[in-house]
Amino acid sequence: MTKKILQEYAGAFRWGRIKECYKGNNWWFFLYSVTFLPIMLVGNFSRSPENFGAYFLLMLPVLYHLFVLPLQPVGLPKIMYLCPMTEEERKNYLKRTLEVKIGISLLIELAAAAVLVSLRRYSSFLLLLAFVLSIMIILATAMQERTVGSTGTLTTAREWWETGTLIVFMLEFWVLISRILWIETGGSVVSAAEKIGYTAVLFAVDLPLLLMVMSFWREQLKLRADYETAAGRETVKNSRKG
Amino acid sequence: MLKLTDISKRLGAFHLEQISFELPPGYILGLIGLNGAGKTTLLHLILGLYRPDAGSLSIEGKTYDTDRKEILEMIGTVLAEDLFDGYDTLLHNARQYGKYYQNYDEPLLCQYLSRFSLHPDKKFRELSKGEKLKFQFAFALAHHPKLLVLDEPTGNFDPEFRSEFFSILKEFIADGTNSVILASHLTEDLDRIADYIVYLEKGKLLLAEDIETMRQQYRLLVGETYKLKLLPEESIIYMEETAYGTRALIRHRRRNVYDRELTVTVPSIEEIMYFMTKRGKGRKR
Repeated sequence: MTKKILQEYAGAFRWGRIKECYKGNNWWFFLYSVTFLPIMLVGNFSRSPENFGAYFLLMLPVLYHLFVLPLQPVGLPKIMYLCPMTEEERKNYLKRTLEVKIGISLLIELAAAAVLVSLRRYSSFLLLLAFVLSIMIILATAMQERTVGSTGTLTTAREWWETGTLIVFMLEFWVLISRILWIETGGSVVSAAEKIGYTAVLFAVDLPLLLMVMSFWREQLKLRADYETAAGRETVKNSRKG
Repeated sequence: MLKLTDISKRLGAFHLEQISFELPPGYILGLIGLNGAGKTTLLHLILGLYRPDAGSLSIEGKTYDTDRKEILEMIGTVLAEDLFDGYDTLLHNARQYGKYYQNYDEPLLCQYLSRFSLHPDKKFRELSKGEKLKFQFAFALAHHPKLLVLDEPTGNFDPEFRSEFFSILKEFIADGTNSVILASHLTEDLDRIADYIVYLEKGKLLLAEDIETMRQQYRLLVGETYKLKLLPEESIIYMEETAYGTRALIRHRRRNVYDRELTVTVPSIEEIMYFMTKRGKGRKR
């Protein structure tokens, strides 16, 4: 099953498919407004190109994830609902798809963090924090594919709420990581009190949202395993067709 | 083979109401109706894509609630939309989805591909609409189904392949264990091949009969209006006056004797469908 999902994942990176997928939605504008614009702002106070590079490297997996999101929907093509599978088997297939697709983005994030660790210029606290926050953004972003990723419009209160969640995570990333970079590149160290403060923010903001994301996916996997509810929610995209 | 009892399904403003019919093994059922009549909704229910709001549906005595996998194993499907991955080759597509079927038979698939002049290494998106349907048909046959569900495929086939398509369907049902449901706008095709007709109109079942009974039950009468008006009112399904004369579809009984000046013919499915649709829009007498 994993092999097939990986083949599908790789198969999505075909120029024709990419063009087809992004045509007609304003995903690029969304991508620009939630990522590139803040990166430019951070760049203004990152003190040096190296720091800006570090920030960019930490953001890269998130950018990658945002880019592939509309291309890699967690859904089943119609033919899979016609194949002899039980609903439980379809749910497991979707679950594995989600794990693989998020897992690849997380592995890229891990690789980016490993590069920065090898440079030994930044504290392990900064890298750990950046890693955790990136995971949160990737998880929150994974919720967007049926809203912004599919049509580029937000219509229901729930869609606004899901997009709002992503923006909260992005803001958290920009503010906390920029702040620590600013301190560390100024030759100071982040105080213990500040570290406790950041950790508290993680628990207060990220933990409830993480639970929300998990509950979102639990419900979605159930809905998407059934053709009627999946088709109603437009989770099955036509991007896989010729 | 297939039994539907009082199946109902509401989808937004559309309502498929209390559909009941049976299809025994070894027969071909033609599903007809105008656009929006509910043919695709009914096929989606038969394919287990939709769950009925009420009523029951069984295939070979099995229901989707308990034997979903076994039922889908028995069904081969050709739908009007592109089901396969456009960027993959035909053979790879078939392997990709064929592995879910216990009886997937790749040599048989290759035989059909060659019979339909399709190259297994060609990408699905490079095929024409008719070729895509031929590939779906080959894949549907390649896992040895017992029931073929075909949604309007013939309109996209060239005349030569259409006749081959019908001969394959006849081969498929020849041993008396398999059945076919063929939804089509092209009623002349169904006249040639169908054993049963199910006619839907605006979500309602207007007719579910075997074709021989239909041929015995209906007559198309053409002649002078006043002579047609002499017929018993309850036997007239619909009467239409045109510039060239008056035509009426009537319920025929074996003992019926008609005026010699009336032309009496056995109506085609298309004529039955036409008059029944007209009746639905209001009796004209």
